[in-house]
Amino acid sequence: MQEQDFLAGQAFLLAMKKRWTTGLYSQLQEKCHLQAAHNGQPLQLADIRTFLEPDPDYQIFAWLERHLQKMKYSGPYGLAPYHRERTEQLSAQLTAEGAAERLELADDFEQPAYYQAVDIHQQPGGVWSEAVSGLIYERGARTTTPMLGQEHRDLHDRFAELVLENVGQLPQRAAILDLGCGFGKSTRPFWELAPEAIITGVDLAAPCLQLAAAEAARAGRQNILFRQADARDTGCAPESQDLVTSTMLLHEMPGTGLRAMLAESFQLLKPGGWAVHLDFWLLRDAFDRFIFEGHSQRNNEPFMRALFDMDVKAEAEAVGFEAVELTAFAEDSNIDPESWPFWRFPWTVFAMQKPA
Amino acid sequence: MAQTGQDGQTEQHFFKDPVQDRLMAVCMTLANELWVTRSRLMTLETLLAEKQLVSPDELATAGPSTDQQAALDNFADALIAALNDRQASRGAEADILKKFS
Repeated sequence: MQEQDFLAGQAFLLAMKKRWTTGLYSQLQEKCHLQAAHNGQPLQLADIRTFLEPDPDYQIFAWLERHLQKMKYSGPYGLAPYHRERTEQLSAQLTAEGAAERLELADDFEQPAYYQAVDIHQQPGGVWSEAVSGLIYERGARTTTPMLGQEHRDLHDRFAELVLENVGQLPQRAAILDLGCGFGKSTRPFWELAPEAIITGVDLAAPCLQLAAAEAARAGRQNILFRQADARDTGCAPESQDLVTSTMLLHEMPGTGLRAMLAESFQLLKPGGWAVHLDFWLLRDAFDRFIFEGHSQRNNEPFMRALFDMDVKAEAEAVGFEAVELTAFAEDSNIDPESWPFWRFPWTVFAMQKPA
Repeated sequence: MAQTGQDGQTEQHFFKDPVQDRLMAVCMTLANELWVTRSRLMTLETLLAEKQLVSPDELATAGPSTDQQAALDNFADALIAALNDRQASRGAEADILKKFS
């Protein structure tokens, strides 16, 4: 596959996705509003299923969500074939001088069964099974929020700023743990905003961690370690961390895993320490619920739907956290999380504190 | 590779008739190819004009030669032929077993 054809092929998919995000989504939303007005009451989830599932506009919307993503990864100009053809050449991006000191991979690491059971986001082989998996994931993530375009990283900057502004004064050399750090996109803003902090990123996927460590090494960041570990069993010492964070991790694990992760983060936080997670949870209405239950199915993210059913506040309190708060998060300064006319994730900040 | 999943899983369906799902996939794949081809063509025409090998006016007014037109006509014929619902080889008549028993 020639480079220019790959770029053009992906540009087509992004152009289609943007129109899906705005035009098709808004059309369905408007239909439901009109139907609710006609009925004289808000539509319930079952009403929306009955109303929309036979609707050709919804069927095309759903088909496109599934297949634009499929083509993005596995089509003739997909990320997977593009990267696989160039494995040797691209693998150079996974190494850098000093990367080895920032990376700790486990020998004979066994991936959890739930993690292997589905190729998340429709990335063939998942984000962990081949040398270029982390590079494929990184490239794919650039267009996860198509309306933000090149500003995608700003989402993570905004979250890190919010966290560091709201958890109170951290020690200068605070210990920060980023759970499910992937290729380090969520970790980077913390190392930039808290330059003296001692940061650990853990993830299951070695190819992602290699990319994260290489990027940190190229940036010359000291006091950072990317370790292959399960967020449910991080290997961190009890009461060793001032702050635990994650971004888009909660919806990628089953309920039992989420409970174990909350218990793990509680025990490794210092008294008075905070855990702050960014994920998808606060849904405005039954239409949102319908759309994101569908997304969960169509995008190979089966645990997202289960997360919507969980009382996360109660789960956090059950392991001992207090001051648990769930608040809507604006991924861009121009977005009002209560009112938006296009498809977007229901970003939610989950903040909780270990008693002092 | 991922067309049917690693375990041979069938794709999710969204239309009443799963054939429609497959036809949509063909249309979208062709549209993707058309976008790539048009992108290449635009690049090529821009480079030709920049290097003054061909002027934009020539590109706008040039038409196919006789041979090229014949090739386009053959393409149109092949498309129509594919839609004519006729067998391209002699098939067995419905009574063939009776006839030759």
